[in-house]
Amino acid sequence: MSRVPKKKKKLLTYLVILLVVSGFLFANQNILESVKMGIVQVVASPMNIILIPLKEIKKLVFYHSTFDRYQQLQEEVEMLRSRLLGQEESSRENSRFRELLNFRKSLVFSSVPANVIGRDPSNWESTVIIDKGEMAGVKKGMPVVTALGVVGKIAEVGKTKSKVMLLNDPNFSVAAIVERSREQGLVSGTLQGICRMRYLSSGADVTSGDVIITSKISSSFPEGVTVGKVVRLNENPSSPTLDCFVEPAVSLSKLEEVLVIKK
Amino acid sequence: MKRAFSIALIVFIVFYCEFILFSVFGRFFKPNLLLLLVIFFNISRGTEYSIFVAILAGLLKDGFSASEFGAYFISFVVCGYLVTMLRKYFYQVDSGHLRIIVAGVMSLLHAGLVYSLGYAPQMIDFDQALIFVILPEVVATTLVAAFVFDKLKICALKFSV
Repeated sequence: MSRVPKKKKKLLTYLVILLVVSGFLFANQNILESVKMGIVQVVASPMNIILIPLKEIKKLVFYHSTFDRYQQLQEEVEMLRSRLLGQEESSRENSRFRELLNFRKSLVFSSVPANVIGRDPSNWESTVIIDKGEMAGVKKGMPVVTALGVVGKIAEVGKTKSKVMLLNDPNFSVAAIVERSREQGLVSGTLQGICRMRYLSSGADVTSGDVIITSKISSSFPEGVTVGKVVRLNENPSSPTLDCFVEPAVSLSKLEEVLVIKK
Repeated sequence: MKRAFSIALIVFIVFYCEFILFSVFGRFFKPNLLLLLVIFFNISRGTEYSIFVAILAGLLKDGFSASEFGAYFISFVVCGYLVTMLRKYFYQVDSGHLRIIVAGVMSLLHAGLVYSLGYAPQMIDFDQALIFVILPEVVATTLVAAFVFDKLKICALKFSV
């Protein structure tokens, strides 16, 4: 007889736990964001320490391919240096013309360098944790880049750490153009880990190998930052628009340092 | 209190193991170790333990996720309860194969719940989710289930849980 009330008590406890837990889904997410970043502050610090031996092992394992890539990049740098000499003069001429036309544009952005200290071990999203937060002037929505191109944007901010939503996250999107033909589109992430450029007009001049850069109309990113390269067109005769798959310029699985652009 | 602390430590260790596996293998091999932990504690220690583990695991996963807070939380807790029901009506203690089937079924249910609560509202294609996230996770989790349960048994004994 005394066992029945105990069983009912247990069931009631489980029901209450389930209701409380379900309540989180309907609660104010802005308040819960500070709870989330609190958890990240505590748990993310050891992740950086765990990553150190993994990075060293990867360096040893991939030594030969890294060396080959280093030699390739050295040759590219020499070629780019010689091109730059010619373009510096064009740039000076351009500035003079802009001044003449009273066209003022800020080309210099202040930025905060940050280290990647952890990531969300999940296939649903692509996010990384960086070691800069509110105290360093980082705010939600700020763009994150490297020298190679777009990385993502700040999704959540804590006191000393922030969460970056990467370019290949399904919730990320940025207005972009094809550098060669100036066709406009929208680049967003997918669950496959690659990006997709959508809403190109059906007869758009875009081919495999075209470089994609951020557009002037992008509210979050400065224009002209490299997004990636077209790897495959996705032609659908029944669709009024064209889309293509874009491989990010930045190797998102090997991120170590990033720049957060302050506006 | 000591037991609760030991269980919390095990949850953290398993979370870091998931992180290491993800850093090494990437998206191609990502078993849901935290879910296996919830199932293990339910089978070996009972519902109360598995709900406690589910709450901690849900907090960790939701904390690191950029989506709505609560999807993983609810999913882990629901899976914790459902294992109790499966254990009551279908599970036989001495059958190793049934543990693996329970792990596979729970992994599928967990992934489905996470999608429904966290990502379906964001208009993410179910086909894409099934092919690139749900099925690989279910397969990876089922493959490692037997090994992980054996290691967790040793771990639980060492931590006196």
